[in-house]
Amino acid sequence: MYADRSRILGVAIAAGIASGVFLALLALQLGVQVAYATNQIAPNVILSLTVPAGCEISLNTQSISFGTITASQNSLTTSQNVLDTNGGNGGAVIAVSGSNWVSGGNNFGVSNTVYSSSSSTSYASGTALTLIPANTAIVVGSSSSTNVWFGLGIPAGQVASTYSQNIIITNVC
Amino acid sequence: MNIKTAITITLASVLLLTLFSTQARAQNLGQSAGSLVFNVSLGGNQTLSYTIFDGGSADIAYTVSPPQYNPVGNNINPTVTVTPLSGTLQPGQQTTVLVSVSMPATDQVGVKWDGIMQVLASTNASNPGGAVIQGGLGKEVIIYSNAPPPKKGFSISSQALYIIAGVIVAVVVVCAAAFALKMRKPAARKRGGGSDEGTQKRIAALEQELKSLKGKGK
Repeated sequence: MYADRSRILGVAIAAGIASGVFLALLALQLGVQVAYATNQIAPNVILSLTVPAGCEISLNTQSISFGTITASQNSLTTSQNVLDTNGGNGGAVIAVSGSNWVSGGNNFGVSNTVYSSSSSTSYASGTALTLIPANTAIVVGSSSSTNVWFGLGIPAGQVASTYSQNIIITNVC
Repeated sequence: MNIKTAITITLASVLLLTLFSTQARAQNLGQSAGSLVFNVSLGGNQTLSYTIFDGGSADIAYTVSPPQYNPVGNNINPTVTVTPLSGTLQPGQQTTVLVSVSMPATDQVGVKWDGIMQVLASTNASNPGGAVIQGGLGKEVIIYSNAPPPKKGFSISSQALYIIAGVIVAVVVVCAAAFALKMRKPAARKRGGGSDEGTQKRIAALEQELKSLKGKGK
């Protein structure tokens, strides 16, 4: 009599592995005490593993600051950047959204913040940030990084204060 | 060790600790690729799923924001529910996100909604005088409204439809043949009987002509 024995196998997938179906042949090494029947099939096991495509996100900072800007003035260009790194094996498109600028009871609109894929974009040419996530068409490829640049304008007559805003950056895939 | 050296060592330690902490906090949130495309019948619902995972070296607390859709005229936006709405992933861990869509029964067929659902890494950062940056993953969620399926009890299979159509065609053919046969008999009677007024006159004329020919023969 021989006792049945089972083994649970684990597989670790390294970061950045391309998507696809991987096959492996597991050859079992049997001890001398195992008896074979003459017609026994060789005890090999074919392992199949599917690695799906996916994207990841890692940002280099949790905050950006525009310094002091007076009312009716702007940052001239998209001067503040966030580096978006995609460590996944599939590409992604960056989507952005934000909240209104708030300071106590004072506020001004989210669209006063603009974004661009370039640091040299003038404030007037930047794309206005929105409350609902918008597709930026900025692509961040697999295992690569891309900057998103932000600029800010202050409406004329805006009450002087220290305002804050939340900006959300997502990799869409 | 003088005070200057002690301060230098302390500052260096703080700097190293800060760098180490920054590295240790590195987060890498991931998800399987592909849009979620729903085809939902009016009054029905559908559930799809995808995977999110922690590809970094630190725990990631996350929250989920369901997609937002702009209203479509004369239609009620479908209801989207997501499970889980929040959680924490440990390094190397993955979890399944279930997205369910319920389509209002009164909507129109062929309407499309397109929005981005977000899984955001939680943050408690604050930045007075600037913007707090929150990172996450976006999943495009597309919803189409479809016609409702036939009601149960009144459904007819295509095979049954073929049989019914065949029976109708056979009945029509038989009726047409019977009608044609019926119409053929009076016509034959008309041709054979010679009872109409024109025929009588022609017969009389022929008889008259025959008589005159007989008279000439005498």
